[in-house]
Amino acid sequence: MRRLGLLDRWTLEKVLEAALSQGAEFAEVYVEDSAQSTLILDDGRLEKAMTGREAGVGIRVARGDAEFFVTSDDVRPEALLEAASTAARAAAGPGVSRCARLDRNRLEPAARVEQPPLDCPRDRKAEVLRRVDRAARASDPRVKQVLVVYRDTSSRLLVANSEGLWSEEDRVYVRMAVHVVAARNGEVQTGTATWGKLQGFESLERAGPETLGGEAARQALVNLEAAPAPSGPMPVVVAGGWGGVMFHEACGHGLEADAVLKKASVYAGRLGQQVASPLVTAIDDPTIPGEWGSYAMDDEGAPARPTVLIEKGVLRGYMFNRRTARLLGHPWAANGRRQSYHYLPLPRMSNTFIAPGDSDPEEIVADTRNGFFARDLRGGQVNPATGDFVFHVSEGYMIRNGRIAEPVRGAALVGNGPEVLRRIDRVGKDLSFASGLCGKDGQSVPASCGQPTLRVSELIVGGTEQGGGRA
Amino acid sequence: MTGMGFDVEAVLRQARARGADEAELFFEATVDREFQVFGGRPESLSEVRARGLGVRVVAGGRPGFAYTTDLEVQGVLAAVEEALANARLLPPDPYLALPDPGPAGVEPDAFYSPALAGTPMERKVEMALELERMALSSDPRVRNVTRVLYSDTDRRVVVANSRGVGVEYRTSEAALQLSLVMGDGDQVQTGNGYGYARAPADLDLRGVVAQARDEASAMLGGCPVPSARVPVVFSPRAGALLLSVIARAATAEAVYKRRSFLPATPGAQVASPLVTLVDDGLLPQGHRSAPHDAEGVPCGRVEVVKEGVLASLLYDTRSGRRAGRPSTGNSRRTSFRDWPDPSSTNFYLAPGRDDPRSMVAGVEEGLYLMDLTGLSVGGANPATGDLSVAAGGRWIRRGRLERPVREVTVSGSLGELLRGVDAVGDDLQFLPLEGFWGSPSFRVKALVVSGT
Repeated sequence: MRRLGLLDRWTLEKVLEAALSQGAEFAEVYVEDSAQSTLILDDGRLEKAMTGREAGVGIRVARGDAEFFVTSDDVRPEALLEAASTAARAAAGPGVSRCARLDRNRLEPAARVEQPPLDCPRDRKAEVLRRVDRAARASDPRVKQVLVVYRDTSSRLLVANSEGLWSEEDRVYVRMAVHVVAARNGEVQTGTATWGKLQGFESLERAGPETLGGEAARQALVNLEAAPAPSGPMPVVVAGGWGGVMFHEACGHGLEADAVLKKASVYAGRLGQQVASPLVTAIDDPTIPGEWGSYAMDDEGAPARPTVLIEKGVLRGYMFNRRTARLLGHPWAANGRRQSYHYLPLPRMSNTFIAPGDSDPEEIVADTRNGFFARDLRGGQVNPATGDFVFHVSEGYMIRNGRIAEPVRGAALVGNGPEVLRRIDRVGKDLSFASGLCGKDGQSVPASCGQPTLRVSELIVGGTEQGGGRA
Repeated sequence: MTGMGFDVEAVLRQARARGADEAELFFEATVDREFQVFGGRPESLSEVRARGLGVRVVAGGRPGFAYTTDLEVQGVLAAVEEALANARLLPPDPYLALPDPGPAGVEPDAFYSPALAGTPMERKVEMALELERMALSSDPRVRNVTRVLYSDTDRRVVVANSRGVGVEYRTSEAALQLSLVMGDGDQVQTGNGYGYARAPADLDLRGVVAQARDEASAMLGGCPVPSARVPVVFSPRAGALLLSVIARAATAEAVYKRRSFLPATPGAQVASPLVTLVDDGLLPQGHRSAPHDAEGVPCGRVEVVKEGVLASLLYDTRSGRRAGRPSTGNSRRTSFRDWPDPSSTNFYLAPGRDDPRSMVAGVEEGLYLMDLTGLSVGGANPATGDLSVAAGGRWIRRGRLERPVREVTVSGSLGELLRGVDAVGDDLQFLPLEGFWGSPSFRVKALVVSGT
């Protein structure tokens, strides 16, 4: 597939000048050239093979607090100049700004790539999906349906702005999701396994397709044998990896500076205050090499850097894009992210995790007399203004007398963010990450969440059985 | 066909010459305008023009797909080659075929209002600022208005295939989203309102403000209740949210792939006789309405469940061929980048005869459910029917709405819920939220509410 060269200095300068020409204070050009490949294996056969190519430019112009944004899929200079003029007219006003000399910076990618997916033969990719399917089906005759979805994305990105920034980065993502349906005697249950990295195709092969297939099947079978979950408040031990979605929903979105700016976050105005148990230190870090939510520059060209969000329970930082950093008086931003060149950047999470503590994960369970063990959480949702969140337990067990006991299914965990953070009373040593797609304001970006095994002293478990679990 | 940089017929011929037995071109051009206002001023105004082409081929029974935004002839032919290369990877699919030309659908501009293109940006901004002012003054307890978002889309679609399908249409839509926060002491509650119309002048600002204000004030000060298994009355909004999950289980593909809690055979009793579920791709005010579906088949109206009995699933061409039935016009693509898949269009529970107030009056102890969260992130599983979602609303005692409820979960199974519907109201309302769902108030005999 022919790759589009990203824009040259002359074009960038002309476009930025045109964007500033009606009195705007700031102008930015975001250029993207992305190629994507998707393979779907369903119902025992390779069902869909799709590839695609998308290239274009987003031109942003700012005046005061307002931003104006125009996109163009036509990347010829004439079309870009016209788009820039449209944006300029929308921002028209008194004043004259000049574009600073662009200082080109090709960043060392955050992606770790040995086998670029773009150069990887289709058959090699298809074989990985077949391996997943075989492993899932072979694990047990109760496995009835296996869906494997594979996607890779290779993007070349360029950001240039009127302050002289000109940064470029190449990103490569590989992701796989496996969904298994198991059935017995008319009873049907599901299991899921996902994997995603900012890495080359070799990383998926090394992760072990059979492991992924086996894991999704295992979870579906556990759920098939599970009893309906109880309902009521109880101590909850949350395993690492996907358990980190709890922090992502309970706290993460409320620490994005746009929610803070509009006073639509329960964490607004609380820097320096105790917002969580002293065992909680939480960080957003886009610099973890090869991790799913990482990048070398954010989507406004700012160099990636970690943010300590909470330190020993005290709120230390928010996540900013350029606009919110300016409006809230923060000296830098590294979390301005966008789904594609069709969108304005918003403050978004990258890799967000609770740092490991001192406890042994097995002891955390042993010290829990009776409660709930959430081994896998599958996504959640939050209202940042109130802090209320919900997440869905995709694999859960009762804890009885300090031991993990029978599996239970169909539970949601609900709570209020600040309250749950305060109730974290044990934090394990075993940090792990899970990759997901985070949706906000109609934009989806890759984000990973992580945590060690930890315990919340009380959460409401929403199952279908009345009462606080069997004695 | 006009407006694209290449000759559709020539490309289809080229695709056949290069090895495709059948070929399909899906061209889409959209103009999306969006802005937010905050504190009496516009914040971010964006105008996104996107164009792209999705190419689907069938070669030796093998399907392949590619998309591109490069619409010069060379770019389009490159996409054709990619699609053919992708096809070589797959085994032959005995059911896949492109549709033949069908009867004429409704007018190409049946869901398009020229008033959208004719409305200047200043007028839209005025409307949004007016909405913000109205929201701020709608109730003394309103603390802030956290979101006033206006968006509109002008979409043009062309679908052509080598069997002779050649259709085009244009749609327009304008939408408003409002979120406000109401407070009382240290209690806060969000309320959301959504407005939707074919053109900005038809947006109902008062209605949007009322939705947000009523939602926030009804649940302000809410707290959990003791866990119990009780009757639950769904507000139209909560019902519409639930239907979005049921809709995913209603396609023939979900059923035959065992990803639906619905049974495979029409004729089975799946719900109470008060329940009729409809999918209508031609609903005049529908967000998902269009003259044709994503394969160029005319859209129509399907009764999925009629008086509790499963009447028809939703079919695209392939799942229809597999079942020996015609497509019901239920093929959909989110955009030109996507393979067309079966999907609901505008999906709703048909209104009944009951008075919503009498539904509440008939409950001794129960929940009036106004908001569900977590549906799209695992809280409702269309494959198993398991339901466990966070909920908010009002507690019902002796037939009257009492204290606000929050931070509880409602659980059960979708099948049990549908069979347990014992009243359906006459107050059908639609919710335009990433899809288009409608429901009147309805009551379910018993669901588990988990709280303290």
